[in-house]
Amino acid sequence: MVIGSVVIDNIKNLIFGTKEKALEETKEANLIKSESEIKIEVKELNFYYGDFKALKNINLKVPTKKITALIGPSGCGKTTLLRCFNRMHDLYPDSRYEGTIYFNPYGINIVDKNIDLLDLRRKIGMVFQRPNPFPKSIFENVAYGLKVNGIRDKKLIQEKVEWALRASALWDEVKDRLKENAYSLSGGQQQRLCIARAIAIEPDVVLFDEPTSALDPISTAKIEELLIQLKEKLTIIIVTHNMQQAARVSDYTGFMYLGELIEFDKTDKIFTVPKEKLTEEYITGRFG
Amino acid sequence: MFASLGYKRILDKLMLAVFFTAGFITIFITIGIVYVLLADTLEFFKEVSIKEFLTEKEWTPVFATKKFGIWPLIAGTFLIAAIAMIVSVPLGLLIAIYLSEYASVSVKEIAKPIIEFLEAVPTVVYGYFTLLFVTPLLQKIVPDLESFNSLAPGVVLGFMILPYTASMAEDAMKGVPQRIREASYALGATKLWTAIRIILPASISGVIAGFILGASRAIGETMVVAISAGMYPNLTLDPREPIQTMTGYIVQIALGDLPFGSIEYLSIFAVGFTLFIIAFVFNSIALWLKSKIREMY
Repeated sequence: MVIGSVVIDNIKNLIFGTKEKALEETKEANLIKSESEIKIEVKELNFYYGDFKALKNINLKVPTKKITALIGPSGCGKTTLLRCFNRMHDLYPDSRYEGTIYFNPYGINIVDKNIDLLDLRRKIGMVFQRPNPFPKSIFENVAYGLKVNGIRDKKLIQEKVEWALRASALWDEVKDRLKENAYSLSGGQQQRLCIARAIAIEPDVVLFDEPTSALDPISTAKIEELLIQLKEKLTIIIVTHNMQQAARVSDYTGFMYLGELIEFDKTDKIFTVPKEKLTEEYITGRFG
Repeated sequence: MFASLGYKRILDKLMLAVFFTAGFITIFITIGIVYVLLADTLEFFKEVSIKEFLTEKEWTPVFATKKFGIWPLIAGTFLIAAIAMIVSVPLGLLIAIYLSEYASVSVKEIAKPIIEFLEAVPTVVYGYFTLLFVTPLLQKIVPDLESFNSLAPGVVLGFMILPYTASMAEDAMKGVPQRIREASYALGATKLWTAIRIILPASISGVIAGFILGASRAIGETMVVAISAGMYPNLTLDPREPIQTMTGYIVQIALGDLPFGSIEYLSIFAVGFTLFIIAFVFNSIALWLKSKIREMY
């Protein structure tokens, strides 16, 4: 079939010349370019908890292999938006989505009722507000996601666990105690373990929900450093109520208020020349 | 204003005394029970050696040649308890996983009180239900099942102890923090996988504590087995034959008019004390396991 269509194309080119084809190629290139740059595209998204409309007409383009921060005062809907991306809301009754969230390059709508949530969550991982390792060994924590994905080869699991722990800057601290319970680690180490667990299955995107809010400043600094290293491989969306953190680590920032995305731009622009008055007031600390 | 303080302080001390007495009474009663049991048990062992009690294979206190080997009674007790556990553990686990991980709040609100109601049914009702309904039913399926047997009461006890096996297991599983569940779902795990690989192992000590308390309840159960299991001390593993349990024996002798202080009379204390030790060991293990849950997170 493919060979056949190529042959036909070649014959067409011989007859009609290559002008038309060149045009198509540039179109295609544009499309691919935008697809490779935009990982997730939110269009006219509304989200409801029962009757309460928690997200109002959100439009947002999340760039590939960049860190996108969502900031805003408590209750503005930033965590609610984050939990739409891996459909965590579906674990609880009375949640409802409207609109679309495109997930490239898979060409699916994340909030489509019929998509496979298990596949989605394997592609879009999550790190939570409080470290939540499983009550298992350090090794088993990281291996868990691999086993969920059907990997049985012990050697492969071992390699991937080591890779994930190295990528999470935890390997040197835990390599001699992999069999110990994860709860023997400090809070900051536990959170890095949770990051290792999330990246071990090599997702495209990892969602971070205020990952350092329960940690001390040194652990926080380590995690921020880690985030910047990780964006070479993955797309990161981070919710934070710490504006300095957003300014330090993110490439793009969205400011949310009362369920709306007020402004979205490059982080340096948001923090130096915000377009909206609300954004400016929030960043300068006049409310929040 | 200051005068009333003195009055309040006296009331406070008075209430402390009341609470202390209330707490002390329960301890006193427990000690009393152990003392009475132990005293008559020691009387019994003046006439029957502990060696005979533990090595003899027959239990025939009401026969002309009296033999006091506890094993037939222990075997009967544990056979019924084992059958009860074979029914109750898988069923309890399935119910617990369903209620804790799958059921909606409204289903749970109805199902849980119903399961716990099983404990409120008078055991004499279970006894006659077993004898007159379950045994005849099982006789249609199981060949050579006698009218008195250990299979039917074992099965009924299996359901009767579901408040322990299912309900306590569910409580333990529900106790696993939601953020641990979310971590598993966020990695693309299914509900079943999460329940089996994460929730069950995390709550295993509580789940097993429920099982052990259930087993302890089955071992100590009296009415059901006295009515439907028979009165024949029988060292057997065949669930179709009539047997006698330790509790069943105590009922049999206590209902008869044996002279106070006779060897038959004393024997029920020896059996009761053995039962007490078994129940004590089981409950201690369960308690120890329950205390382990709290260390986890």
